[in-house]
Parts: sequence; structure tokens; C-alpha cells
Amino acid sequence: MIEVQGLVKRFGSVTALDRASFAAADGQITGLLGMNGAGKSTALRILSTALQKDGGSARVAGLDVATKPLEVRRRIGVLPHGAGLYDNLSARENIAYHAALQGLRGAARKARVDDTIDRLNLGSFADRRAKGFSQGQRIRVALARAIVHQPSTLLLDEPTNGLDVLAIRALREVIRERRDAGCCVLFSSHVMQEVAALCDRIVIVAAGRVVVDGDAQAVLAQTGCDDLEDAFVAAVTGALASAA
Amino acid sequence: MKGLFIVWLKELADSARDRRGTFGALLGAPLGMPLLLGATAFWILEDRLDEIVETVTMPVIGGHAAPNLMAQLRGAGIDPDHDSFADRRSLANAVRSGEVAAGVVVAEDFGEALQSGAPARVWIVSDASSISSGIAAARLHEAVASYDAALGAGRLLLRGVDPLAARPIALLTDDVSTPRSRTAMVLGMMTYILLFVMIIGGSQVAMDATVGERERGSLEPLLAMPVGRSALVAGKIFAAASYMATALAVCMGTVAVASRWLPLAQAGLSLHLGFATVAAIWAAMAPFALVAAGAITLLSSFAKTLKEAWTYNGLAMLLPTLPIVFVVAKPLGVSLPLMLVPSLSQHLLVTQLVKGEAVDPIHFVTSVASTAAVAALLGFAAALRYRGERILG
Repeated sequence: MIEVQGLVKRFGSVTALDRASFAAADGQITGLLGMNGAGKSTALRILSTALQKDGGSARVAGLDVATKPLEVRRRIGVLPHGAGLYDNLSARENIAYHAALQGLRGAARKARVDDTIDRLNLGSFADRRAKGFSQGQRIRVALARAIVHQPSTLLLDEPTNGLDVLAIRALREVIRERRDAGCCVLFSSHVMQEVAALCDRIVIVAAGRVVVDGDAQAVLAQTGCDDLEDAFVAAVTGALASAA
Repeated sequence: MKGLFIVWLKELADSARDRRGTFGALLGAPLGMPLLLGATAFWILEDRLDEIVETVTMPVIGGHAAPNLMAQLRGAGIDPDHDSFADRRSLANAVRSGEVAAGVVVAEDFGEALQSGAPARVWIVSDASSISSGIAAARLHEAVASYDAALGAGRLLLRGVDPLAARPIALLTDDVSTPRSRTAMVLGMMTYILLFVMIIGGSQVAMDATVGERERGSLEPLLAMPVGRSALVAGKIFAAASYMATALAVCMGTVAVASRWLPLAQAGLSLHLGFATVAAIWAAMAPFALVAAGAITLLSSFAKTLKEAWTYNGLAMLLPTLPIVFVVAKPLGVSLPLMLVPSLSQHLLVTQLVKGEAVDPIHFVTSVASTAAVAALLGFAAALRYRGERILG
């Protein structure tokens, strides 16, 4: 469960988030949709405790990210922009490192790492160093790393960027599987089709504000469009015009 | 605490995978620096020893006018060469170009001057800016001076005067240096080399674990781990310090082995680096690794790129040498307050150990404690940087 209320974040004179409010339920995939620079990554980074908010509140699994960062970090799995693997370590070692930092020890850790590698089908390259991995392999390993400790909340920052269609399908499968296990998945993207194909709920952000929030039907109804892409463009341009 | 060990071990393993970097850090400088300096010292010492022991040939101009002086030179192991140079100018040019180390010019009126009792002129042609020329000139000087003294004493005796009357003062030099303390002077550079080798041994690891981690984008997911920032930073500092301490051990081992082959005893120096001394020097120096690793980690947290971090690091490398430069220029002696200054305390302790002097245990403990305290402060400051969001750049 993610609850964001009136969230504000400024970088100098730039307001990245301007009283943004939205929620993401457990057992659902929520898509955070917006143009580049809309504030999606900023919102995810506040939720992952990497950034500190300037106003409003953000709660993960009922815990305030500002006052209980360590508790929050135990419950989240994070896939940042660009994977961020250690090139000198193998896929298995990358996953095991985060599993250890999440408090998994000894045989339990080994079992969980092996299981995650199997489930994400990483076996063929699990013991190779990450240096030579393709973008698809990197993202899959980073996703395995994010779910190895079975977090209740998943924060995925544009995970499909630069992936081919097969890799995207494999990724979607894992994300759906996590949702079906009761996970709260928050997924950011700037591609409407991506969000439409995967998400149960769509939150459209523009200029740091939430402009549309609901399922696909609600998005179409709110914007008066027949097509989700038109709806996205209409919502975003309308918000940008009113902001200007 | 668990987080600290996990980060520490991971950083060690991660850096060890970079074979070339590890090889350079742990073997390159730690083996290369002492061997390079050892070879240079060997070359200089051997040169100097040869000069003293062997008979050398030196050019002389006008020597036929002074057969007794020539005999004196031969007695001092200098074989006069009368044929190579015809005039003073060509001899001077040869000395300047380094073709010959030094030479003697006897004045044309040498014989007449001696007979008439006027000072007979002898020139030693040398180049003070060259070490080997200086050594050769000193030998010539000594030989001519002793001939001068003998001749002078003979003249006084002929006149019925005791030659001692002309020497009211016997100027003697009481050199209190022992072979070990002379060694300490020669090896005054040692602390600096050890510091340098040690810091180089872990800089790459310290910067890679901080700026490198951020540049590669792995810092953000790491900061989403439920591990305190101090444990995270401490793990990284310990990993870099481990590399530094290992580089120091390799370097110490090389110095111990290389010192056995240097002709130090013939040069009036002594360097007995037994296992106990080597271990003690390592133990005195190693705590400084934490200060160096902490400082690089802190500085790197302000750097945007690895390149920038290297620039900061290059400047910071000068910092620990300042106290050492200061005491070399203005010796202070060993005292407890000086043990509170990291790098200075290490320098003083290592110098004492090399000289074979006993080290006061209180000094040793104070040095370790103050060094650890400074390292903790640096680590704390770095952890503060990691608590802020600016660390993500």
C-alpha cells in the first residue's frame, strides 16, 4: 500500500512535485504515467527514501518514509533507472549482495537467491559477470535483485526502457506474478501502451501534479477520448496549458 | 554491524576482480618503489665504495715539475695521467662534460716557488654540482693537503722549530652518529615512501566504492537497503584501508629483503630489518590507512566524477607529508603531544624503530588512538554526506 498526500519536492527554483496525491493498492499494478520531467522518478525516489520531501506526506505499507526510512527499506524492492549492477560481480553475486543487505543469511539466502534466479529464468547467465550483459539481461537481474527478499512493495522506474519485445513480455510476466502474490507494484513509464497493457490503475502526472487517476475506463471518461493515447496527450497538454 | 561486514567483503571482492588495478595497487608501487630506490642507493653506494678502495687514474698537468707530489698521489691510490690533457682549459672542459671526474694542475713555476719558499700553486679542477666529481676532488684534496703538511713540518724542523708550534689547535670531530642513526638519516624518506605506497594501494578502491558506485548508478539501489549509512560508509572505508594495509605489508617485506643486498655496512650504515622490526613498523603505520581511506571517502563524496576525485586525491596526498617535511626541516624530538598528530606520529615512531631505539608503549598507544579518532571523525563526516540526498548528485 502506497499513500501519497500533497507531496512537494523542489530542486532549487524548480518544483518537481507540486502537491501530488495518489494511492497504490496491494495486489494491484499502478502505473505512474507522464512525460519526461513530469516528476515520476522524483516521486519514486522519495518513496524509496533516496530523496527527502519538502512537503506533504508519503507512506509505504502504512509507514512514513520520512520518519521510518529503515522500516520502509525493508519492505520495498527498488528497480532504479538504468539497473545499477556491479559489473565485476556475477548476476548471482549481485542478487546475493542485496539479499544479504536485506538481512537474509546463510542457507536461507542461498535458497532464496537460487529460487529467484530460477523464477526469472536467469540460469544461463547467472554466473557470468554483469559486465557483458545486454540491457535486457541487466534489467532482469536488477528486477531479481529487487524481489529477492519478497518485498510487499515494488518500485519500478521505467523498467521497459531499451528492452526488446520478448524481454518486455518476460518482465510483464514477473510483475504480474508479483501482483498476484499480493504485492503493491508502482511502475513508472512515459509510454501509454506500456501502462495500458499492464496496469490496473493509471495515475497521470504532469508538471508535478496528478491530473488523472483511475482505471482505463475512468481515464477515457475523464478526458472524453476514445483512445488511451489521445487521453494521455489530452490530459497532459491540458495540465501544461493550465500550469502555464 | 552485519551490514558493515557485508559491504566490506563485497567491496574487497569487487575490487579484487579488477585484476590489473589490484596488481598495480598491491604489487606495482609496493614492490617497485623500494626496489627502484634500493637500486639507486646500491648504485650510488657502490660507486662511492669503489672510489675509496680502488686505485684511480686522474689527469695531471705539469706534474713532471713536482715528482714528490706525484709520489704522494700514487701513495694515496691516485695514478697521475700526464698525457691526456695539454692545458688547463681542455681539462676544465672535460670535467664540465663529465668525461673525467676531476684533475690536478701544477703551476709552471712550482719548482722555483718551492725552492724560494713562496707558496707553490696547485689547482684541483672539479665540478661541485656533480657527486662523483666531488668525491674525486675530496680525495685529491686530502692527498695534496697531507703533502703540504709534511713539507711544512719538514721546513720547520730544518729551522729548529717544533712543527707543533704551528698547530696551536687540534681540531677534531666527534661524530656521535651510530651506523643505525646514519641509516635513519639516509632512510629519512622511508616514512614518506611507505605513506605514499600505502595510500596509492587503496585510493582506487576508496574512490571506486564511492564516486564509482554513483557513476555506475548502483548507489541508488544500495541506499534503498535497510542498512545505516554509517555502516555503509564504514564498510567502504575498511575495504579501502584493508588494501592500504596489504600494500604496506608488501612494501615492508620488499624493503626487508632488499636491504639484505645493499652494501650498507661498508658504507657505514646498518639496517637490520628483522621480522619483529618489520612487524612493528607495519603496526605503527597501518592505523594511518583508516585516516587515508576516510579522507578519500569523504573527499570523493564531494566529487561528481572519478576524474574529479583523482584531482582532489592528488592534492590530499600532499597533506600527510606536511608534518613530515616540517620535522625534517626543524627536528623536534619525540614527545607525547606530537603523538596526537596523525602521519607525524607515524613518522616519528617509524624513525625510532629504524634507528633501533626503544619505542615508548604510551607513545605507540597514543598514536594509534589519536589516528583512529581522526579516522572516526572523517568517517562520521562522510556518513553525514551519505545521509543527505546530494550524494546521488
